[in-house]
Amino acid sequence: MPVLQVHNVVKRFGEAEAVRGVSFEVRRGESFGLLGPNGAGKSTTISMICGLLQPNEGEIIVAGMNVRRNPLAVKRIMGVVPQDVALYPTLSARENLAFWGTMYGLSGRELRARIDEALQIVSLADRQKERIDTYSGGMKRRINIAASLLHRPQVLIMDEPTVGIDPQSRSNILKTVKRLNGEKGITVVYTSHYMEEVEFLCQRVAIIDHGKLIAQGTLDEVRRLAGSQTAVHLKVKDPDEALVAALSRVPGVRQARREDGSVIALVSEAAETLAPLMATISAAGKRVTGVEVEEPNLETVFLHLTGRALRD
Amino acid sequence: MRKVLAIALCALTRTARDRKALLLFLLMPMILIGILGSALKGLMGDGKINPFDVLLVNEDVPARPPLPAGAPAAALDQLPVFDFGKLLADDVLGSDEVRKIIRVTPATDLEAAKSDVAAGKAVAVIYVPSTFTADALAARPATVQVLSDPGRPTQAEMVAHVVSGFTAAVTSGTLQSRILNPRPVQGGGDQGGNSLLPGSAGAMPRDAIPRITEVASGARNVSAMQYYAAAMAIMFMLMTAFSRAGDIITEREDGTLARVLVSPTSKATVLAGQILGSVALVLAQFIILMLGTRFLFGVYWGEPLPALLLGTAFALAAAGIGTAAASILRDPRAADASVGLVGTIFAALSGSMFPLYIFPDGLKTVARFIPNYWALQGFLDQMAGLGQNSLWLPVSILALIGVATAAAGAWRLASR
Repeated sequence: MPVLQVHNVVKRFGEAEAVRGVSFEVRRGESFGLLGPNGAGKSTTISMICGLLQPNEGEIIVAGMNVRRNPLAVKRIMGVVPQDVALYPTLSARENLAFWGTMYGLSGRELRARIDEALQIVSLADRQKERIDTYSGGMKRRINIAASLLHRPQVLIMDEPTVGIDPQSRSNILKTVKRLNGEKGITVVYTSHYMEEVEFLCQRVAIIDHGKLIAQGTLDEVRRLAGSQTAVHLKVKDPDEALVAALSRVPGVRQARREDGSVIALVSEAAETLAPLMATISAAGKRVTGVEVEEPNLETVFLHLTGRALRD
Repeated sequence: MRKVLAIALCALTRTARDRKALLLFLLMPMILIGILGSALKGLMGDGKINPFDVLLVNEDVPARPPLPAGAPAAALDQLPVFDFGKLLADDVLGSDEVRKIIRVTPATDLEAAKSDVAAGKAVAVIYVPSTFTADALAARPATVQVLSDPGRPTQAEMVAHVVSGFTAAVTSGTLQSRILNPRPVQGGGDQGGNSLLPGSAGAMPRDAIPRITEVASGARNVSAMQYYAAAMAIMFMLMTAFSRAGDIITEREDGTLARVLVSPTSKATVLAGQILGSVALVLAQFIILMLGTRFLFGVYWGEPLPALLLGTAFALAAAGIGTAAASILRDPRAADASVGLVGTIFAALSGSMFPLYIFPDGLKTVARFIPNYWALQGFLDQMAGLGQNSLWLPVSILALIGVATAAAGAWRLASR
């Protein structure tokens, strides 16, 4: 039973079409990833789901309710973690949570209990009286998440919640989200341009690029879209187009492209293709300074589907 | 309502924790009030009001009321003769209470009297034209002119108040009615003042004289310290409202406004909370400045309730303008710049920096379109002890400005 249905949604800003006929469904209790590079249309899609933006075409249904017709009812069951830390820096963590809880209609003893609960979830109960502007980036992100949990939402929308923080804080947040989904059964819609986050958290994923969905399904289904391709990263001094063309003609190579100081070759069988690749480079008078073999993942899927890296 | 209060309280708390804002909006005006009030004490006086001179050019000619339609011409002699000019001179300006404050000297040449006022020999000249009584009895427009020294606005206001109270009673017909039909007085005492109307059916009743004595006895001059306490408070209150515009724009930029809007909170609730927060902040600033100047500099703001009402009305106007600014400006830096720019221009044009009476007439007219002007005049009137009659016009205008600008700003913000 889908808890979120996005049907053929289009959003235009003047002449520019930011979202072009996007459709997907999210089942109750699952963790769904929306993956795409910066500017792909992820945040615009999320803003429409939250009711901040109205789609020009299509409709969005949350728990059986149309977002356009029942915005307040939808907002009551939805928690949103915005991309930026949306907190008041001169208020303490607890004061911030009290404010956001009030915005969700909580008050009195219930509000106090929910604040305690949210602080426990993000492990910041001992720092609750400190002002947000004294927190580290990771701690701010955790309170940013806590503020969206106060009303115990059925659906939690997380728009790139780990942007710009250190690896330790990022890991902490990912584990928290996984726990919320696994233990508390909250449906999570998670957008990111970090494929490893989506692979860690999500059971199903949709890939969006230039405002269009280019793939969706379970992680395995999406990975299979790239076939059994493996990305071989060859570090070559001064690679040129002639070398890329020569590598593309090596048997077993489906695609080759230049990126920074490397050439990336998508191959069917890395073990069989590696030697001919090295020989071709030597024949071209170039020297290999490093080799990295990357097994099929969302990054290679994106590369296969668009010819670009996910973080371009 | 709880959400509206939470949004307003959040705005108040954030400002209270902003040291820069506290320095700018509380400490700075207190310092300026102290400096300007002390420096300009010699120019503007110390607040005491002394008896002052007024010239009276009374050319009024006694007259009888017009005959009722169809009455024979012979009946004219039966009608009483009125002399309102003399009544004004003797019973009103000549009353004991008024004479404590206003020294009236009769004059015959209007132009010479004007020259005396221009030369500073008198505060004002009161001119009663020859047809005043006849016009009033015939229900035609009847006016007494007060030509005053713009450099002494408080005294001029008092003279104008005394005269306008009298002319209102005359032109409305209530005075003649009371003279012709005196009320019985318990104990059979004297019903009126001088019996000055030959052939009249009655005498001038004392209680028919406009209540000018309260105005005169309660009046006091406004000192430099009082003037700049009001002027600086108003200037900085508007600046605070503009800084709130910056806060609203910042909330839009840093995502907190969007976060409120993804909660089950309507735009109307958000806007009501923001406007209430602005009003509460500006009003709190006013109360602190009022109490601070009272205890530090001994500034008398008039009766507390009228002063508070005026402060509330201006807080509403300032908050409305701040909301409208938030709906127009897109960048917090632009809002910061406008805090100083608009605040200073409004203050300069409305008399917060230099007293308005030294302005040319054109600028005085411009000042009337600025809310600061109405707030300043309102406070000065209350400080001068002119009472509640002078309160309602500025309060009404300020409240109207506040509601109109807040509604326009809220509409624009909601449609974004």
